[in-house]
Amino acid sequence: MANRYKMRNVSNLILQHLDYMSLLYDRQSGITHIIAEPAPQIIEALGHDAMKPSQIERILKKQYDIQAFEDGNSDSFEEIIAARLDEFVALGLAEKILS
Amino acid sequence: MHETHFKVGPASFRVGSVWKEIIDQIEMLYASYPKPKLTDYTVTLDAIRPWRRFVRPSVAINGDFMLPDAAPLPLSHGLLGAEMGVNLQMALGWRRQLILHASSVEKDGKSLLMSGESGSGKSTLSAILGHRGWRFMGDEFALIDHDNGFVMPYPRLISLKNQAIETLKKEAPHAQFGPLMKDTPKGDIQHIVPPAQAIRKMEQGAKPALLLFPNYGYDAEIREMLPSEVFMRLTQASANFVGLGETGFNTLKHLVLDVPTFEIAYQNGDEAEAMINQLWEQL
Repeated sequence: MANRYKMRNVSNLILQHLDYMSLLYDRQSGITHIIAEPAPQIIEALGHDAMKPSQIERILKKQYDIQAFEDGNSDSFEEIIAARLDEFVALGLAEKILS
Repeated sequence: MHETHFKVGPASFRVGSVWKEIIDQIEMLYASYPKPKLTDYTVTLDAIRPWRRFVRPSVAINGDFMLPDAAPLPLSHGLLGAEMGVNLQMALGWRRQLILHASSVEKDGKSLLMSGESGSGKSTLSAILGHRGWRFMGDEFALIDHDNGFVMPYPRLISLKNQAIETLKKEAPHAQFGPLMKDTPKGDIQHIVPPAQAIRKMEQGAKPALLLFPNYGYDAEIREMLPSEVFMRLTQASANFVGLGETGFNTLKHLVLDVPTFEIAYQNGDEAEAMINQLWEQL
């Protein structure tokens, strides 16, 4: 069974879209992260909830044309989401809830 | 100890030194600046050892904020030491506005910001434009107000390096120049007092309308920049972004979202001025 992910202290994060990149300011660490698609969309899909990458994929596929993410990528979109979530965990922005 | 006081934009300084000649130079060049009653920062230019005041005199820069490994300078470069000490206080201590390593000029109540690496020409361009119908606001630091996003002037003495010295002597032959300091760590340096109106209006900010990243010495080109690239460049160009926390983040975010930004490459001041005028008219 896949692990679920949850953003830590969503109220401490400020997400600002700029262009193909977005800013993510973390009040707790004082660090500004500059993130590319689909990382900001994953954060918005998660909100305050804990979700599996497959659940996030379903939400994003309803909202966006996912073809653009999958073109030229050998990984599936779900794998791309899981990789971004693991990066958030490594940065201290998200936590992994082991199932 | 000899000392003098002066105010640049919103910041006031007390500079003290065991050498009267350094203080005399500063007083001459800062004669038209306001003398504050209270000071934000103190900078002292001391002898590295008491006897070195007389024997091969070397100036050590001290102040409220200091870098412990700053190399001492020969006495003939004392004015540069004062400038470095004053800059250091701003870079390490100032919190009232977001500090960008950028020059700025104003026209029709709107400001033009120019940021870039040392040698990009931002300082020289601001000095030239200050004698061609723009109000000079600063050649080194632009202070971005947290409340309204305005650029607040910081019109310290303009620090001219190498070829820029001759360029400005032709552009503004009647301006007041400081002593020529040869072979400093930054090459030849000479200071020039900003135009009188720059000092008279140094508490008058202006809404930023255009941000440029000049590149001196390349074929003429104008390239529009995306906000994400601008944000990255300006975090590197800011002295206090990290320390300001969320306040600094919000101030910088609004600047990059609101102000059109271009990179311009140019070979000389006339070419840069033409590009700037073209972009300014398109606003």
